[in-house]
Amino acid sequence: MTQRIDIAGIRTRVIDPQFGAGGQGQAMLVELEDQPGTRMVIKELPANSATLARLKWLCQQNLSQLTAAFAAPIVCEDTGNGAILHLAPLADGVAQDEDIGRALPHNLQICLELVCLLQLLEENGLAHGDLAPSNLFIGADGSVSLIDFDGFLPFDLQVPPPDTIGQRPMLAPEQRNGSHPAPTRESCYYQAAMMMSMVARGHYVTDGMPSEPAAVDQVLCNGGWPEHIRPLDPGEPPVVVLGDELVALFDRAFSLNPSDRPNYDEWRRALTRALHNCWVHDCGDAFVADANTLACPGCGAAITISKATRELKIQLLPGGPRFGVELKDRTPIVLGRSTMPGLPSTVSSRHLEILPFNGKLLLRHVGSNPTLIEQNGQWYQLNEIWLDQANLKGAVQLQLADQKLALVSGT
Amino acid sequence: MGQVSKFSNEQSFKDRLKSHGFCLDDPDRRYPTRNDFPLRVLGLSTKSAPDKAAQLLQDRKGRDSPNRSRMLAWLSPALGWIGWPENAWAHDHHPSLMPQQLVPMQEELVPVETVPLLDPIMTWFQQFDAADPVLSLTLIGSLLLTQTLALFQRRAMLKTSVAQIQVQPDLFPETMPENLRGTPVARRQWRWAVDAATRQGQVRDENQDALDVLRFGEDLSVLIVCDGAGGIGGGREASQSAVGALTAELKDIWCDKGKLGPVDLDTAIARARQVAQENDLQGLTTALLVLLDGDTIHYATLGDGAIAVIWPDGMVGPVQVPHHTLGRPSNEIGAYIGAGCEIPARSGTSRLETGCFVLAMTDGASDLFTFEDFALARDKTHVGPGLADTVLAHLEAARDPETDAWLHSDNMTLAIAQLTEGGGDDAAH
Repeated sequence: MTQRIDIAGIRTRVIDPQFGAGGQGQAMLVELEDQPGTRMVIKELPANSATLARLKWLCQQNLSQLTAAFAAPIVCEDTGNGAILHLAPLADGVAQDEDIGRALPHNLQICLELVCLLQLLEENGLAHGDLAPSNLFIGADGSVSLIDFDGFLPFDLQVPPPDTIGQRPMLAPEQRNGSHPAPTRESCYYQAAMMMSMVARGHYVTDGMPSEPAAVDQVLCNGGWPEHIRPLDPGEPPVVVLGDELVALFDRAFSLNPSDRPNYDEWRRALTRALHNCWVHDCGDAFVADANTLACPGCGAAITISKATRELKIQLLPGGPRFGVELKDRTPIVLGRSTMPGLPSTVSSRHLEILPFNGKLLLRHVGSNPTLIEQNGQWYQLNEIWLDQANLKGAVQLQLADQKLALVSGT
Repeated sequence: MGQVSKFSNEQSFKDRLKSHGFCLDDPDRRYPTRNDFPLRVLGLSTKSAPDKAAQLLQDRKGRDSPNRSRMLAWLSPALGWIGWPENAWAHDHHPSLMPQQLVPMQEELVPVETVPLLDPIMTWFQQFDAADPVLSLTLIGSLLLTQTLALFQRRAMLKTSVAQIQVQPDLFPETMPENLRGTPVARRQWRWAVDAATRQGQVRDENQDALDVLRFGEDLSVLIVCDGAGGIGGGREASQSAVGALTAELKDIWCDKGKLGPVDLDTAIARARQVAQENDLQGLTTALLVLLDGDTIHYATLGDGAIAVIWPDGMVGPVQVPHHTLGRPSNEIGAYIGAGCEIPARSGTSRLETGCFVLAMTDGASDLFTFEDFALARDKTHVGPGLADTVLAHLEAARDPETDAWLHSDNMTLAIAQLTEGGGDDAAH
């Protein structure tokens, strides 16, 4: 006989009562009675007031309404017989540790999607808290979903904290050595870095090293990314395929000092840059290139990365934001309030026009208030001037109305 | 040396990131996120139906308050017998809103003989002898008892409901305090806070709008907003010439008479038209002139644009009627300065209240300006230097979320004024 469960007014039919068991409770695969074919997951947790308060708060956050990648509870209900039920969407794909092997660029895409989701969670006032390969689902197309939000860490002091600290392999050093076992925002950054290391490298950080818990703890409590000391498997690419920037971020992420760990936004920007600088060699190896890459990290063959794109960097002085724009011949670049937010109102919407042409730049003043240019330590009013791009290596200083900035040409 | 090829991210991956609210090509860019699956699931919930029914029942119960019962009860002795049939079914049972079909009576049907409703009652009363003193006393006693009960019910009702209303205290003492007797009461002055700005926008090569604000005193200002007609040459010259001529004429009148009135606006427009003709200007321009005089505005307008008043209670009152022709494109205007046009300006006068905002703007701004949003934020808004430019900056920065194109299509000009002092003192008039 088919078992039916009514949760918060939503009638469901149980398809698989033993769908899975997490650390906190039992999960069941169900189908909506009103919409046959729509499968969801009901999880049963032991009832207590803190769990119910946490779940209610979690449901109010409407996480699964933000994006389909969050398989977070939609409704929850205290059954009155010692159990709390919650209903969550069914995530597509398989757990990360059961996923097929993927190439480096696709692994970087998974990492980027993961940190985007984690940043979205953080912006909505919580951290996942129990990040692990079993809670990260990868679809056939590489799409990422997060499941099992029961151990979430709220950033709202009114909400009870989690009564679990996450899975042992993912714990931060301060949780392992007991100096600060309660999960924090920084320990969640550590979990994310651990997860991304596993995705990017295809194995746990201490694989191939002594696997006794004490030995693993010793390695992870030493600080630094264990990949540096881990012996490479045959045919395994070195860590340099990730590029210097990502390697440096991993080093910071595994730091013993929690405040050193990069946040999700830093990861997202670095991974975005890495994906834009990802190259595939003839030998089949993919790698993230940078200015120092002269050989394929996989096979060692000499390579030349074509510098097809030239970039103009604009640094607002003295300490303002930095803008970058691709230089294309005969395509004018306009500087002004219309293209650079945050400039003072004295700068016109279109103040300075820069036209790249045959390795040179034509700078033309088009604004209301004057533009000045510094040459040989002296400021001159600028109407039109040609500059060699080669000369821009050492920045050229301009003043748009009363806003100073520096132009730097680079790749 | 081997060849390397750059990895390109699939569009599906970019779309996935976008669905999470992020952009692969621009890390600073964010998108709104939305997944309607949970709503669809919750929409299927059958729990909402009983909830709604319970709410309706609760609302109905709420109407059965003791006060309501008492109000109905005290009416019953006097009117219960007669009754108000329309009230009998007006509360909870709405009559059918559909027109009822009149069914013609069939001839073969025999009409039922009707019995007068009061006949049995009158027959029953006739068995009593009206001259019987016992009966008379009984009737009088019953009436007195009924009326006494009614008075008690009315009193109870007043105690429970009407007594809750606080009586407004008299704020004006009948006798002045000794120390104020004979002291002249200072008359409050009207004061207009004014700001104005114009922006070229991102889509036009030049700014064909022109504006000026003349301040003759704290209680007397003139807003002048002109919009040179696009599509034909000389729009910029026309608008700037018009503003110059209008300004000069109004200043001259002020110097001569020491005051300005609605007639002077027409005089200034005539002067601007004359100047355009003398200089043989090819362009056309609209003109909005708003004379802010104490708590009164006089306006004269040619062409389109908008003059609107945001009242202290948040109501938005469009003042100006554009010179458009019904059925013709909205960019065609029927009256303007230039090309020998002599069509008179549409003018009028309106009396305002303290806290009123007056906005005069060209169509480039009025097409995008959300008057209701501004009205909602009126209590937090104070006219001062930079307000008009800030408002226009927001309009200028607005983009179409679908196409990412600029929403504005023209130059934008806004003059805004607020009556910040005065009012509430009848002696000032």
